[in-house]
Amino acid sequence: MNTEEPEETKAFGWGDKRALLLNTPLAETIYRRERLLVYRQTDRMFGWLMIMQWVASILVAMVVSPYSWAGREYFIHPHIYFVTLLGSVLTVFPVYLAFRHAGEPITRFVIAVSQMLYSGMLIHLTGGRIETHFHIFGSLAFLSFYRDWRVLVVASLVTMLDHFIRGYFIPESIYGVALASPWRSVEHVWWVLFEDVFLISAGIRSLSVMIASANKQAELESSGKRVENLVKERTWQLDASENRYRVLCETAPLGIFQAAADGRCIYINQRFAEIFGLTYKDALDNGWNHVIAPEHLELVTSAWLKAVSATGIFDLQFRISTRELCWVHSKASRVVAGDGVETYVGTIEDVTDMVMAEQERMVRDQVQARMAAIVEHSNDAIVGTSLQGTILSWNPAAERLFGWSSAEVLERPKAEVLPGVRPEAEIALFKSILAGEKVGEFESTRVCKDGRVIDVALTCSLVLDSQGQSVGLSIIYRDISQRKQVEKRLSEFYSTISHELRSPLTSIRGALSLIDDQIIDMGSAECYEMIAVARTSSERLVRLINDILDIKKIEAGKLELKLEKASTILLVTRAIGDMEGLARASNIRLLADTDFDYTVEVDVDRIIQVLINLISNAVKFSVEGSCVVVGVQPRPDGDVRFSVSDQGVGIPAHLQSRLFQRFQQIDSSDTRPKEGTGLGLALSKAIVEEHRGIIGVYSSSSTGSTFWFDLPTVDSDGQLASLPAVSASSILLVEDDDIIAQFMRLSFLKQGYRMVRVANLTDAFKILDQSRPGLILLDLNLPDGNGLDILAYLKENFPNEDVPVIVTTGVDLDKVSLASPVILDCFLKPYDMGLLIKAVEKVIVSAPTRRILLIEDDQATRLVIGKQLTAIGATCMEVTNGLEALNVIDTFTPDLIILDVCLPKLDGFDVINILQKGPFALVPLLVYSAQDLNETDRRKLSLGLTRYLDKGRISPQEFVSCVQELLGHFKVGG
Amino acid sequence: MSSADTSDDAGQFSTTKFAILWAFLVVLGYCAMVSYSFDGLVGPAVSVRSPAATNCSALVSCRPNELTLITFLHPQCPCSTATVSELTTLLSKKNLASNLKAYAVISRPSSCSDDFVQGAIYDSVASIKGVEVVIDRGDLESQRFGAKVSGQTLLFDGQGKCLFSGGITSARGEVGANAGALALGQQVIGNHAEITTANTNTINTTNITATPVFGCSLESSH
Repeated sequence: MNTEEPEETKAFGWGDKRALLLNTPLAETIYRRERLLVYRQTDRMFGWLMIMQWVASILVAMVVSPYSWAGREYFIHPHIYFVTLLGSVLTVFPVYLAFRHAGEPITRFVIAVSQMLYSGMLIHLTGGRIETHFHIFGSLAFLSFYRDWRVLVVASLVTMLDHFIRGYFIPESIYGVALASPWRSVEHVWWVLFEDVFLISAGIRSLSVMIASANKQAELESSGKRVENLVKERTWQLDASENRYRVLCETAPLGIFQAAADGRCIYINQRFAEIFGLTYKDALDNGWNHVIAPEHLELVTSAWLKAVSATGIFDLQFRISTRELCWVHSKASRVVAGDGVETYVGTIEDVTDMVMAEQERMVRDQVQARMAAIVEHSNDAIVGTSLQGTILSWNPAAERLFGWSSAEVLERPKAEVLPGVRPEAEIALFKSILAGEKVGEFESTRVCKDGRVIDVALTCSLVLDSQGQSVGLSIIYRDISQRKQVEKRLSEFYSTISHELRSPLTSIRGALSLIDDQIIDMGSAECYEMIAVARTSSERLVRLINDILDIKKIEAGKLELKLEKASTILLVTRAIGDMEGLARASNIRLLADTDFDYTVEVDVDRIIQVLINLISNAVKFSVEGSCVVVGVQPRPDGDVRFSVSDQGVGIPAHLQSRLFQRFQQIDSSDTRPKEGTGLGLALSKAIVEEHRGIIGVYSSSSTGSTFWFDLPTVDSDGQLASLPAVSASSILLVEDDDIIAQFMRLSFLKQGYRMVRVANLTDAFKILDQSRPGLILLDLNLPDGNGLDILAYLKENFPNEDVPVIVTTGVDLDKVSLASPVILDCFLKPYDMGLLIKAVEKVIVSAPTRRILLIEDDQATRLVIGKQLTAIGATCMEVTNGLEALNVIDTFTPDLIILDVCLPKLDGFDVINILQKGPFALVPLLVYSAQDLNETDRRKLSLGLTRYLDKGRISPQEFVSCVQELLGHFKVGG
Repeated sequence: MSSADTSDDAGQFSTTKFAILWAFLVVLGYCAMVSYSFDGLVGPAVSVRSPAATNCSALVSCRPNELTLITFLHPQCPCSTATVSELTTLLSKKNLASNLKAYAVISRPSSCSDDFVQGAIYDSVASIKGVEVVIDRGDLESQRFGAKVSGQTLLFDGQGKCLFSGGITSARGEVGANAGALALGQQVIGNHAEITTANTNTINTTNITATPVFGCSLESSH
């Protein structure tokens, strides 16, 4: 037997129907293999058993009957010979088969036969002892190990034959008796068959188990085989994959790494070390923390910790320090091994070139985007053409400028779309540009889609491709129509301004020359006339210069308003007052149409300036004998409207929109009948708009023109929002009639008195509760009571303070009712204002001479101001700089300081800064300077009661009034 | 045909020859074994001399009106244990003849000491009630009675007539019903009825006066 299969075939060659119960050929193979194994094992078992059985038999024989005797002589007992020899015959051959031919059918059948014969031998040698009969049963039991019923049958047949033959012929041999019944053999055989039944059935059951086991094992082996094949396949694939990845890792242009959660590298490829500029060992041992650029170290650490603690993904671009300007991009992801250990597998890529390229691209994109945005949002029309003049690009500004949409002009010849006025000249220019010459901006005209001809400035340049080749032209058209118009207006303005400047200068110079050359006598009427001419002309010059400066200030955004609450009547009255001289000279009457007084919060000087401008224009353009009405009317929206109406020829409607533009005059020709710079209305518009107001005009040739502007009011009831305080130098006017009150206020204001008016007793009481005036002008018929109640009120509340009272009333009263020591006089309406003023002057007590420190470096200004101050009776100490002022101030102890800001040595800021820290911190101050002062400057330049006046902007009267107010008297020195 | 096949065929052929040879040897061995087992002294003991003729011996006295049962035993014969066993069974019967006198003659060859006698046979037979153990020094008694094989049992009547001579086992060392024991039993019980064995086999012992003796020789070869 050289192969297993033939042996199995042989073992089962005589058919085993149980194989039919096997499910698969593999199960059958397993079953056959198992059975063969059982056969072999049982064969070998019997081999050893039979040897032991033989040896044991010999030993027993030697013990039980060692010798056979003949008298005194003895011999080896024949039983020993029989056991030895016959036993060997019965043992050697089956044992030989058991070990040499284990598993073969002949082996187990020989064993079965031998074993049964051995039992027969033992039975015989023991004289049929029952114990040796049991050897048969034991042998059958052992033979059943073969699980082959044929073996048991053969063995049983042998023993049955033995029993029948020996039992019949030599019963002593098998039963130990000389005579034995045949039934005894039957009995023995029956017991053998009895045992066979159980052994065979047990064997069948065992075979069934083997079959089931074989089927199951076949299934297991089959699935195991499949699993094994799968594992082999997967292993091969894994090996292939591992090899593939190893090769990839080693040849990849990327650095590849595997790192622990603490950043320690577990695996790196060679490229990894190369990227970081490290040796392989250094990179593996020390990782890459130490090569991260310091500015990125915190970022990288933070990103890594975030990946470890939360996201599991590390993705960052950073710079390393081992190589100059080296950027790397690292990506890693968490990998969890089967044992739960987390590592991070990732790549490192040298992205320096990419980053640089990206940065360059971003810069380029930004530049291109900016350029595109510039082109797109440019106010200049930018047109791109081919070298042949075909339009290739057309920006929105071009659409706006020329009226053509891009869809309409693209791919069309430029000359066809934008015909020029001087095509030959432009063609020559374009040729020069194409020849590479630099051509600057030049001006031309273009015809728009709607036929308009506009002035444009052209800038033309070559468009080059990346190789530097000319591929087209870029033409920038700038609309210069407005500039041209402005240039025209400026030209007209300069013409006008030169005229306006030269005219008064000529008058001044001429008048002064007449006086200086003594052509006319000093002190003569002609002399005073010339002086008046010079003064008028100088004032004209001042206005002109102020207007120009104001315009420039507004353009620079430096116009600062000194807002304060003011009465509309006051504003109108002052404006009219200032313009009365001009109106009178032009034989124009100025009328005020102010039925109600409103409070507005304005820069009084600026609003008066606006009113003066409007009145001046109205006077200039009114015919002689006509009148100009200055009115104040409420607006439905709560604003108050100031209006100046004339009876002139009116303004054509198409010119009205240009009125408020700068350098704009309706008639700007040199032969225009009226003087003017064209700045007044533009300046007025700017001032009104600075007050959040609006300005406008309506005009007709029949009724004349009305210029108006609206300003917001502080309150809408026409009354002062809060009651002002009075002082001993003030007059309290208690008068419910607004017109009378306005008239009286203006009259006394002209006389330099400060007057506070209330319209009822309640307000009067409130004022008196706070302070007492120097005089009360009292109307008796008041809305809330009799004016005389004030006398009782004062007596009751302020018994020790006698405030003088002058009664003005429309009711004729008897003397008794006015019998009071404080009532100085009584005027019955209508009264003579001059008499009333004289009565008031009697009440005001002369004040002591006031001391004024004038700090002014300009000698002429010092001279003029000194004369003005002396004229009002004040003592003036003149100093030329700040240091000198500080030296004299302690001894002079001024009641008022008049300060110029620009001073040598110590300027005005330094002087005030020092004075603010000394005993003169509360002295009234008048800052009189040509310098523009902002709020910060004003805060710095303040002592006690402080006022700020601009040189050249106020009249001498205004200056004196301000000085008197600061000195706290109506009239200094009476 | 490959060499393996040739080898297999040769092996098969060899095994078959071995099997045939083995079968032959088995048969031969069985025959020899059976032949030996039944190779005892068969038939009446021709050489057995009656006690009367010999006038008995000093050791074994044969008296008138008594049945004298004499069993010769070799003290070392393994087969004789079966004889002792059968003798014990016989003598333990209740209805034995009252005039039965039993002797167990233990052979002691002349060159042997008495220690030769001591052993399992001696002890067993000495323990049988009613048996007088006689040491047959020099084998004088066996020679006088003509006994040659251990296990030979003789029964004499009062007149010295040998009623039975033979073994009381069916084969060597075989314990169990046998013709000798049954025939002897009938003699000593005095009842000639058939004895039914436990195995229901019936043996007619009426005319049996001699049986084969299975045991060791009592005589030395020289």
